[in-house]
Amino acid sequence: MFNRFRRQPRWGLSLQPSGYAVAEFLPARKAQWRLGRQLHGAPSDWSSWDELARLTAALSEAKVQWGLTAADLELAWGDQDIQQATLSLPSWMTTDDADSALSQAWAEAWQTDEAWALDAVPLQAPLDGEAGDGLQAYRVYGMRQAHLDALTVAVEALGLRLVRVQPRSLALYHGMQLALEDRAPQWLFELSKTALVAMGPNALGDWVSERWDLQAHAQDLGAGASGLAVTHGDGSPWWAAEVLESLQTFVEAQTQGRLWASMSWAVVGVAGSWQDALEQSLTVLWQRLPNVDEVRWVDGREWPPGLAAWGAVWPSVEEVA
Amino acid sequence: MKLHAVNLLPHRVWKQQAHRHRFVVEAVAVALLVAVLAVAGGFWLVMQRDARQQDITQYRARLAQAQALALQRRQAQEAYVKLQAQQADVRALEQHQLDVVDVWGRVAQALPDGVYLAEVKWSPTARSLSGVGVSEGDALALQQGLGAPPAGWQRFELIEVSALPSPGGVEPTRKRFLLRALPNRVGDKP
Repeated sequence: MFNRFRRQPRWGLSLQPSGYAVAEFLPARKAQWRLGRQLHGAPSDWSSWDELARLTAALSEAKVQWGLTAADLELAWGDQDIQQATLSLPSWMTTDDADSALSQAWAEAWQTDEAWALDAVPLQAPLDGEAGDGLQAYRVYGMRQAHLDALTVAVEALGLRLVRVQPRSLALYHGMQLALEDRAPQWLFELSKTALVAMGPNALGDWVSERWDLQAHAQDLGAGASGLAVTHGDGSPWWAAEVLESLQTFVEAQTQGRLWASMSWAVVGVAGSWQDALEQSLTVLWQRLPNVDEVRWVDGREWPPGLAAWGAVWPSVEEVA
Repeated sequence: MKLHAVNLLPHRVWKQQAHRHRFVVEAVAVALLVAVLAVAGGFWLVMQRDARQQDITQYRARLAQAQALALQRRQAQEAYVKLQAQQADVRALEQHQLDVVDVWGRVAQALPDGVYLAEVKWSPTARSLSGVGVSEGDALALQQGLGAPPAGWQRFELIEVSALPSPGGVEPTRKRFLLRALPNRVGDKP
């Protein structure tokens, strides 16, 4: 059950590899939802992140503009800079005392010697096979420690203390559940210019997410081109078949193994025909899933004004692009 | 569905540090509180001890006064008992003297002519009159003449009458008599 009293990130920073960063503000109380946006160049090289100064200045402006007085800052960072992996540890080892073991397993999984900032959540899903006996699966999130340190320095330069950094998709899902309570969609699909993200509960109740990077499809079209701007002759995005097939496989794999009496879903991020095309594809997906009895599409136009602005942020990015 | 608050910052380390800090603060606070309570408790105990000692001193003083009064009372009681004994003795002596006077008065009135007393014995257990008369009737007359006995004594009884030969056989034989009175026994009518 979602804990509505759990603190959610009030700041969101989403860095877009296409060259833009979006700073979002999510007040804790939905009655005071406000959103702000600052655009910056993305960090092409974290070791010499020139945009950090601009980001810091933008955060400072936003802080003044929104009248923030809180000393603690919680950030939701873009998913593209946060890696994910499912790792297993002995079941007797709890998360609190398994930090070093997770770090070692992470380094082996990614074949890296870099320092990473990690956090893990236990999963309900059992491991397959006899080898899974006595093991506990964890969903591990990791961000390069150097990036996190640079971010911490930038935030501290504002007189703020960074107390939480988490993946943006998870923060978005948290914020959605908090704002809409029982009306929040279970599965959420976020479409931006550069990525498509699917997130929701699996058959065992774990929160899962998957991201499909659209930038790879736009690389051949030159700088400034949008992946969504590449269309077939009928106007549909040419990447749709490849990405949507992968997305449907992911959703189907995660939701099978359990009968769902009802399933609600929504798409946020992109307005217009692209969102319509994605919603039509997802409608077909839900209808052909045999283990879902009732499917309910959540209309974003019924959301509170602040939450509806979620969808307004990203088209603005498109316009700037 | 379980939503976990993923935090890539070392929040567990912070939590442990905060926990340790809170533990130290609470331990110091508890230690200070215990110290304050110990000092206050010690002070209170000292105050209580002083108060009890003062009470004990007062009790001891009052006890000494009470013991002195009790001694005085016991001495007064002893003196009173002694005085009562002396008073009883004086009364007994007065009664004895009155009895003596009374008996002597009766003897003087009842002593017939020609009768003389040879011996009078006066003791707490018996009173006896021995004398010499002409005949046995003199002794009986003396007995009758003594009349009713004084309080606490029985009548004089004629105990013995014996002949007293006259020296040389010139005069007729006289009679020696012995009268004796005993105190009332328990149960006798006064």
